[in-house]
Amino acid sequence: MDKRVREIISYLPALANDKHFRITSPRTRDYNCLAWALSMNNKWMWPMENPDEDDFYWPDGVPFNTRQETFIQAFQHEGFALCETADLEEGYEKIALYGYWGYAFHASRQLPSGLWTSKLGPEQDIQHGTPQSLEGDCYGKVFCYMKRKIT
Amino acid sequence: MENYNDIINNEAEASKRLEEAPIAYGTSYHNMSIQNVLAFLDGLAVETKVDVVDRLMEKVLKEETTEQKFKRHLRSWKEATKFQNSPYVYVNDSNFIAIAKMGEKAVPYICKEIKSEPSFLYHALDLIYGKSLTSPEKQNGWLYFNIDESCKRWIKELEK
Repeated sequence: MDKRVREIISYLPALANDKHFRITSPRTRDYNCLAWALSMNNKWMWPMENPDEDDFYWPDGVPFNTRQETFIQAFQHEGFALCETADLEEGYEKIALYGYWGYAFHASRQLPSGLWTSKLGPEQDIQHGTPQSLEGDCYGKVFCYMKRKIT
Repeated sequence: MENYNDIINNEAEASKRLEEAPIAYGTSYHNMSIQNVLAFLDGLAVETKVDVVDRLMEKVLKEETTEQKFKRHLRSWKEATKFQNSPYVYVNDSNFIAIAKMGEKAVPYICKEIKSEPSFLYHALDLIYGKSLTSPEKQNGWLYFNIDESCKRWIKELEK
């Protein structure tokens, strides 16, 4: 098994049973999973703060947080709405959001084929068969699905 | 199970080995190889091994140079954040905080690192100097971070 594949599986063990899992890009720090969920590949993105949140400040005084509801709001800004399943729906693109203990850590995006794609932090993009293939200690579990119309 | 005398002798033997290790292996505590450590622990009771490894770590940390300390925290930070997407996770990791707490002593090593591999480590410079050369762009419910640009600006500033 390829060393990079082995390393990814060591962090995301459910991928070991995913026959669709493959690495689809070189390692790059240019963008993260949220940018990739929105099909962008030149920025790191993170939801803007809840003004009541004060547990961390960037030096210019901007607080931000990783709460699941903040993630949902940020994707609503992009035209996504909550939906029930990860099933492929014609005319829609879907994303899955992951986290635990009320906080969010990852997002993946459905491809037109019905398979899924994820950017793993500063590492590679991967393709995976289902959103559940990334569940585990690293990103937690899927806490919601969202969809928007393809324009 | 070992009797009382065995344990006492074991601890005495462990202390003797610990003190003599740099001479026995011809190196500092910090540079002992894993083979050295295994040889040094050989034949000791499990409880004694745990205790003696703790004491060895204390000696290693006491000998550590600034560069070695920086590299140790950097390695652990990279390992802990390998597949993480959240800027929050990067800058709240205990190893990141330890690097920032090293203050100006860490600056040459931070610069070298972000020059060869741009990362959120630039934020340690924000914390050390109490200022930020770039802020995340705010738009439509999102913060956009440009890691490359932030690293470049700090390098330029510090190379002046």
